[in-house]
This record gives sequence, structure tokens and C-alpha cells, in this order.
Amino acid sequence: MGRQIALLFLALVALLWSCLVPGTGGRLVQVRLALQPRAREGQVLGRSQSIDPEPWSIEILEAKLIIGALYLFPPRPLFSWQALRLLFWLPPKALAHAGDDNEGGNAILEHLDQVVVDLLDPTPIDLGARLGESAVVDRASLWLDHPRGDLARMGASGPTRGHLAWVHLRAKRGFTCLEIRTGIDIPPTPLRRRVDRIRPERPKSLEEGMEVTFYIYPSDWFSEVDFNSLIPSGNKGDQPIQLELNAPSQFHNAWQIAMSQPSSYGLELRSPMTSTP
Amino acid sequence: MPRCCFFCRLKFGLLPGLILCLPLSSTKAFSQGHLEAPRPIGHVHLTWPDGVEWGESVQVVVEALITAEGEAREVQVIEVRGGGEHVARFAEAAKAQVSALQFAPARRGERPIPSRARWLFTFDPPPGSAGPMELVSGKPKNKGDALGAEKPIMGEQEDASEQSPDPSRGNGMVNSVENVQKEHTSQNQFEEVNTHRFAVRAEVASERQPLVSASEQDLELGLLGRLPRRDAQSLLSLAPGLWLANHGGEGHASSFFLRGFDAKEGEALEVLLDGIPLNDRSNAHGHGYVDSSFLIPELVRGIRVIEGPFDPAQGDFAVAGTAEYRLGLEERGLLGLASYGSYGERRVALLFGPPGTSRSTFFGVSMRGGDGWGMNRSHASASVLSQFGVRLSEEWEMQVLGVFSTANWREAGPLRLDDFQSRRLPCAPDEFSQFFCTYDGRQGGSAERVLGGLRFEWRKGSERMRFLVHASNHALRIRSNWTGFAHDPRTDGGPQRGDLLDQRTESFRVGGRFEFERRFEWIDRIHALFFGVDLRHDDVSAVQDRLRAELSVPYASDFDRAIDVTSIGGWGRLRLSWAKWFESIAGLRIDAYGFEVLDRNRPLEDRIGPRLGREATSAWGWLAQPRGTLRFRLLPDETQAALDWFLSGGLGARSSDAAALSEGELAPFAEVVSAEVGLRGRFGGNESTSRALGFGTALFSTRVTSDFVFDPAKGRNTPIGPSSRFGFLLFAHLRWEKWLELLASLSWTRAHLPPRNASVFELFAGSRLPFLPEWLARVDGSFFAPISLSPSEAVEASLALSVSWVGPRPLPFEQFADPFVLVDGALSLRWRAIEFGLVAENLFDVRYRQLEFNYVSNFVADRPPSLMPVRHFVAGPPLRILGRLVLHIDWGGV
Repeated sequence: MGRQIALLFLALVALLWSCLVPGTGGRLVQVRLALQPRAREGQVLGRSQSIDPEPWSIEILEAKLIIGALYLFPPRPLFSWQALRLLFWLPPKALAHAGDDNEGGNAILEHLDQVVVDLLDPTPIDLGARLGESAVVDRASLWLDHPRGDLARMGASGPTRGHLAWVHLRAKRGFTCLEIRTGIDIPPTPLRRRVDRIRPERPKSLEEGMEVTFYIYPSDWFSEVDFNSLIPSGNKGDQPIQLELNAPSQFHNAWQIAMSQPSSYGLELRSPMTSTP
Repeated sequence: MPRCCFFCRLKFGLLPGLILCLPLSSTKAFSQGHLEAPRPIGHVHLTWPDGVEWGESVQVVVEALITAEGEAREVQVIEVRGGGEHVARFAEAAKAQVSALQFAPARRGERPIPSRARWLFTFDPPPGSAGPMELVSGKPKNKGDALGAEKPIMGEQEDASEQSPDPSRGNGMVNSVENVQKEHTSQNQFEEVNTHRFAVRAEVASERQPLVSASEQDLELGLLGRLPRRDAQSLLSLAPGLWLANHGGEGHASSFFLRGFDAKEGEALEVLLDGIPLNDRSNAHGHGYVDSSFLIPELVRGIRVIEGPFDPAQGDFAVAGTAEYRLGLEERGLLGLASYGSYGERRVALLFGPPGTSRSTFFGVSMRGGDGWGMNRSHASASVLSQFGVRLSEEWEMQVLGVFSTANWREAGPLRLDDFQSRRLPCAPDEFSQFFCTYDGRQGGSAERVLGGLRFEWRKGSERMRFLVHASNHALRIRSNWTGFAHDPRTDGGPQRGDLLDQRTESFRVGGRFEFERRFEWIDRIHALFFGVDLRHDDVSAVQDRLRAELSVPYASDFDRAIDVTSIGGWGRLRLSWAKWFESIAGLRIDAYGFEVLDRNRPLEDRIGPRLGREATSAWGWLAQPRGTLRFRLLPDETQAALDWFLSGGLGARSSDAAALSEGELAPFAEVVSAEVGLRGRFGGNESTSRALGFGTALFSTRVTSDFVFDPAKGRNTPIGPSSRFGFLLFAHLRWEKWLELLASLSWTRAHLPPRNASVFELFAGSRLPFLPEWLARVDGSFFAPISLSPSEAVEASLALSVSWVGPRPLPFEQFADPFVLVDGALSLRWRAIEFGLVAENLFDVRYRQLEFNYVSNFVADRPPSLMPVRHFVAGPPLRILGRLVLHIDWGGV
């Protein structure tokens, strides 16, 4: 009799325990997100050189960028049982472009509010704590954004002068000095404003209390600009040449290409206990 | 002063096929030695109604339930022949006579049992002195009426109506039935008069189908009909373990949760209307969509819910079970209803039960509307239901049903939890406005329905046959936007144009159903063979377009299909009563489906070159579904208590959504294997008596080969693979005469997505299905009492309460949804023909999330989209109070 009671008690405990555990899988964790402009190792933030045989020294005097959204994605599933059956019989799909779904699938962490980044200030911008799904971070995406809301209302008086990004830089070679002030806008198509496949320095799973930092390397943006072509004819080189460039131009094209490369960004995941990546 | 001296005789004819209603018991032997029919005791006084001038005979058939204690209950007039405008008077007189009689109850051996019997009263207006009449039996006066037995009940009898009263009786007073019987023995009227009064052969034909599981519920609403229920859909929540939630508002079908199934709006629950299937096949919103809100709740007299596929008669969509509405209006006369309440909720209804007809004859019209609470929840609807029941002959009965309905509504749709918590929703910032807000005010829907049904029923002796034909047209349009600006299929990288889905379904359906039952004797016991055929053809047009946010213009077509589905189902069920304590039910159902699909939304070119934008697909499939039940009676004597042990098992199926079929495919079904073991019992009489406590418990397990889940991006259900469910159920039902009725239940279920190679015994394998309620508890109670104001005046008061508890629901990411308790109440006072009532729903104004989801949405068009699945919820309705005024106009009373 006692044994039967004990068994019944254990069954009740098991039933109650099962009611306390959802068993639906997955786990939400709270992480801190941050943005930080950064210089490459051995470089000074905002300073770089062009790739010309006789390189130009580039010094960024002012640079502002609007970030629209940040996403972290898990690894793409290799196959599901349904896909396996299809994959066996069908030729593989060519993903030349899949419209707006290149990074299709669900994100495990995201930030959707606009942020204006001073690219010369290395202080991390704390985007606050948010919930994410505990899963391995395979890659990230970053959306460049045009001013919206209050930023849009500021117009030319805003930090980016109404553009997606604004830069004031000085390029010098010898006695020739070019000072360029200009902004850049990218057409409002998600594909062109989205920077995909930003890989973490070390792949990890999101965990409770983790610090996730997106790095921006602005110094790389203008390395491939042909500054020679920007020198006005008849310049004697005794005064800095003030240039107000309007898009489209090769300056803007080079800028956009560099700004849209995942290599212009970085991603670091810091575990909470050790605070080491 | 009456025009003539009236005397009337009671023609006592017991109809063939004396019906002994034994809901909990099986059939019984139908030879004289086993069954004794009920018989009246005492004097019978039947007089021609005062002041009625009518020159012809009038016949009244009255049916009553004779309890095991010999009391006549549920006396009702089945038919009145003749009488003209005085029908009600004759009916009242006959009904009063039966009500006043005392009866010796029917007996099975020595044990008294309840029974249902019919009597024929014949009022003859010959000239002469008024006086008491004789209680005689014999053939009806009017041949061809077929009210008497085709096989004379008492043998060849002289027509007693033509006999004058025997002067040896003095004033003709009849002291007892027995005396009359003895008077006629010389005419070879009776055999063993005192014990076999009614019939040479009495057979039992139970009006209710035998139970196929311990959890089966067959509820006559009665007092429970006073519970506050918004519409006929919500009546189904009386079934233990069945929970309803609605993400689309009034007019939109509710989602059913039963036995761990999210049956959506009917995908896993077969819903019938007196045998007429209501589920839509290949509906654009969801395969199996069923909306029963067009039914007028006051015309629903009962519901039957089978939880699980255990009866071979259960057809398509009976994965979680079957729910059937039975229509009828008990009250005769005119019923006018008007109500008004919170948020502009208003309703008017008119119900008419023609006097002298049975409850299956009625006419009802109902119109309701409301502004809705919060944003975008207004609604309006109108329904007409009419049914005419007539007895064509002694064996044949016919019913004709007609339904017209139309509805239009707005719906709010789900909200993002993060937007609500940060008060970012596009409504006023107060908590109420935010909780009941909407993202897209263009959401809503409309529905129109025309339905007709013709039913014939034939009974004779041990055989019964039913034949049903039905036709309907159902037009449904639903506009919903669950994801905002997230799933525009454009490939040019341009901005999202919006995810408002416009789903339109036009479904024309014809069908028929044939059932035959025959009871037979074998090994000295009564058994039953039951077989039937289901026929159905659906002609469906299903379209889903995407509407642009600007001007609501269609910009893309997700699908556009014309679908024809023809199904033929046949089933047989053999019930064998092996012993008094053991019976078995074995059945087999075979369904065959033929599908023809014309896809009108194909691309105009492919890799090879230009092509037409349409493509046809044909598919066919069939499936055999065995089902059975074993029933063990654990108590030998069922007079005061009964306890039965059930073992039920069955294979069920749901037809394939035509949209998912391939050319020439042997159409796959979603197969369900289900099993249940349970106990069911009662105390104090049986369900026919006025005092009874029924109870039951059941353990169940179900496995589905191909389950569905709602995909907000697609706006409809999509397959997810196999799933398994298990759980238990407890329920109790107390009925105490006409004063109290109480229904209580507790259920627990779990659902998992097992790996494909998991065995059926691995109940906990795989991840758990979220969003399904685990614990459900409910208590529904209705109390009725007269309050005397004076010796001749009384007010009838009734109080009804419904308390529901929904336990924590598992959510993704190892979370639980908050549990909640809902209380609904109704109070009414009736004085004569006027009734005032007050109804409160969600009495304590609980803010609860009746549905929760987890998916990706983006409701801000001009910002980067959200790509992370987040919690969404559908707000449950707040407190609503309605006042009701009801007029009961009884035309002569029957």
C-alpha cells in the first residue's frame, strides 16, 4: 500500500513538474547592444591613406552616419525533412537575387531605432538592453538609413545635413590639399542600404548579460577615391582646395561601395562573466 | 351553454413503435415477457372544451415521458387533426388530461423504468348528454390516419367509439383501466390484460445513439440555455474541455481548442447542424472553416459533442471530435426579444412556435449589431431560421429546414506586445485604448449564407431509417493584416506595399445522408446494426489578394483557385450486447475523395517560354477508418446508480486541402489515431429522470500524421508534420428537477511535435506545441425558482453563472501566458408574459489575452522591418452588460 502511495505521489510530482516547464524549446536572453566607431589596429581613428602609388593622406574632420537597424542571425538550417525530400529531386536554386529575402529568415536579435553615429568619437554608443534568442550568432546585418522623424525635420541643420551620411575630410599630398564637404544618399531600396554578412570575430551563442558591439571602421571609406581627379585645373596648390561635391560622382561611388562592404564593420560578442570576447 | 350535450371518448391507441426512451441503457428484448408498458391508473375525464363549436371529430396525439415513479413529464402535443381555429383548446384539454393522470410505470421484469409513450385522444361531438367517457382502446376511428397500429395493437377490435356507454355501469364512470379491459376481453382485445396492457409487441427504440466513449456529451440545454452565451458558437463551450477564442471578432468564426488541438476555425472539429455538415472545404481562410454564429441561440435545443473519432458516422474534419447542434423550440407561441447594452450592443429577435405543433416546427428571425469595444470592432448580422416538421404517416416524419443569414463585421487583429507595453500603438495612450487598439482599420469581413435541408425519418418496429438532403451556398470574405509591411513578394527591392490579405471564398455544396438501423435478437439479447452513406459535393472558389496600403488596391494575387471536391463515405456499426454487463461496438468507415483544382494564378512564362496562367490538377484518395468501443457495466443494478467503463479507439481523418495537392496524387489525408479509456456513471435515476448526478473521467491519446499551424505571413494554415496529444478529463452534471442544473469540468492536455521516428508510446518526445491551453476548468450553473407574490401570482426568477479558468499556456522560448478567470452571469425575472433580464459578460472586467502568437511583423512602413518573431496577442472582450426584455405570448398554451 505504501509503495502504491509512493508511486502515486511520484506521478503527481512528475505531472506538476511538467506543468511548470513549458518545454517549447528556445530561450530568451537579455543582452546589451552597442555601436562603436573604431580604428584598425595600428591606425588612428579618422586617418588613412589612399591606395594610389603616391598615396594621399586622408584625415576625416567630421563624419556622421545614420544607422537604421541592426540584426543578428543564426546559421541557416542545412535542411528540413521537407526540404530534404525536395532537395533530393530538384536542382539547387540559384540565389542570384531573391528580392528582399537574401537574408530571409528570422533574426535572433534586432534593434530598429535610428541612431546617429559620430564616427570620430570612439566612445561606444549604448543602445540598451534587449531580448534576444539564445542561439549561435552566424552573421549580422546593418541597415543604413535616411533621416526620419525629427532628424528629417531638422533638414540641412541636422547632424548629417539631411543625408544618410555626412563627411568633412581633408586629403593631402605634397602641397596639394583638398577639403571636401559632402553628404551621401543611397536610394531607398532595402538591398542597396543593407550591409549583410557581417561576421562575428568569434562565433558564439547569445547568452544572458552578453555585450554585443557593432564596430564601424570609417577610415576605410575613402581609400579608393581618386583624389587626383578632384583637383581643379589651374590649381597652384598654395591654398587648400575647398570642394563641395554633389552626387553622383566617383567620390560618392567609391564611398558607397566602401560603406556597403561588410569589411567596413565588425561584430564582437563579449560574455558577461569574463568580459572577454 | 354548449350547443349540444357533448361527450367524448378517449380513443386509446398506442402508436406502433412505442418508444421507450432509455438513454443510458441499451435496447431490450421486445417480446411480451420482458417488457411491460406504462399504463394509466384512475379516472379519465375528457370533456369537449367549453364554448367550442366544431362539428367534426378532433384527434390529438400526446406524448409524455413516464418516469420510473409513474409521473408524467415533458407532456407535449405531437399532432392535432382537425379543430380549425380551436386547435389550441383541444390540445390543451388532451395535454391536461395526460398531465393529471397517474401511471404505473413501464417495467423491465420487476424493475420500473422510464418510458416515453403516445396516446391518441379523439373528441367526438355527437349530440347527447355530457358525461364521462370510457377509457377504451381500439383502432382509430378514421381509417387511414395511421395513428393506430397498422398491425392492430390489441388485435381486431370493434370500433369502440361507435358503442354507447354500457348502461350497466350506471353513469358510465370508469373506475379503472382494468375494469375497462375486463369489459372487453370478450372481444378478444387483450391478453393478460393487467400486465400487457398496451401491446402485443413493445419494442424499444432509443431516441439517442449509444455512447461511443466515456467523454461523449449529449446535452439538452434546458436550464443551461439560460447561461449567457453570445451566440450559438459559444454554446459549444458547455462541452467539457472545449474552449473557444476568437481573433476576428463578431461574425468571424471562433477558434476551437479541444484535446490539445488548436482546431482553428474548424480544421480539426467536425460541426454539424442536425446532420448537415457546416465545415467549408478548401476555404481561403482555412481548410475546414466553420462558422455557426448564424444560428439563433434560442433555437438550439441541444448539442452533442464526441471528443475523438470513435463513431463511424463521424466524417471529414472529425480529428479532435464532432459537435452537432440540434434545433428545436420548446416553447410554443410567440417570443419577442430585445436587448441593449454596452458598446451599443443591440439585438431584436422574434421566435414563433405554432401552437399544436412539435418543437421541431419553428420560425425565428434575429438581428443584432454593435459598435464594439475599442477600435474597429463594429458588427451587424441578421439570420432567419425556419423549420417545419410534420408527421406524414404513422411511420414517416418529415422536416424541412431553411436558413438565410448575412453578416458584416470589423476586426482589430493581433497587436505586438512590445508596442502595447511601450504604448506605441496608433490609438489614445490610455490603457484601455491601447489594449483594444488596431494597426489596420481596413480589417473585417462579411458572410452570406443560404442553406436548405430536407429530412425524412421512418420508424417501424425495430427498424429506423433517416434520409437527409441538403444544399447550401456560403460566401465569405475576410480582410486581415497580421504582419503589416513584412511579406510583400516584390523582387525589385522597393518599399513594402502592405500585407492586408483579402480572402474570398464562394462555396456551393450539395449533399445527402442516409442511415438505417435495425435491431435484432440473437443469443436472447437485443443487438443493433447501423449503416449509412454520406454524399457531398463542394464547388469552391478561393481567392487571396494582397491589398496595397494606399487606396486598398490589389497589387498581387497569392492564389486563385476553382476547386471541386466530391466525397462518398460509407460506414457500418454493429453493436453487440454480449451480456448484461458487456457490450461492444465495432465499426468501419470508408471515405473516398475526388479533387479537381483549377489554379488560375500561374505565371505567364517559365524557363521554357510563355504559357497560360492556369493549370489543372486532379487527385483522388480513399481511406478506411476502423472504430470501436467496449463498454463494461460495473454495477449490476442500474436503478439508482450506474458505472460504466469504456474503452474506445478509432482512426479518423481530415481531407486534404485541395491547394496542397499535386497532379494525379493519391490525395493524402491527415490521419488521426485516437484512443480513450474512461469511466462514466450516475447517481439517482438516469438522465431522463428529474434528479440525477452524472459524472465521468477519461484518459486519451491522439496522434496526427500531418498537422497544421497558422502562418500569419500566408494568412492561412500550413503543414508542420506529425503531432501527438494526450491528457485527461473530469466532468460532472447535476440536474435537480426544474430548479437547478450544474455542469462542471476539468481537463488537462499536452501536445508535442514528435520526431518522425518516434513511436506512439513516446508521449513526451519532441518539442511541445505552444499556445494550446493545458488546464481548463469550468463551472456552469443555472438556478430557477418561483417567487410567490400572492396566492395567485408568482414571479419566476432564474440566475445563471459561468466561471471559466484557463491555465497558463506554454509559449515559445520556455515561457507561459498568464492564466485568467472569466465570470459571466445572467439574471432574469418573469411575471406572466413579461421577462426582464440582465446579462454580464466578463463580470470582473478582466484584461486578458485570449490568444497569443509568436511571429515576425512590421507595422511601420517607413522604417527597417522587424525580422525577429515577437509576441502578439488578441485582446479578450472587456466587461459588457446587456439588458433584455422578453415577451412570451402563449396562444392558448400547449
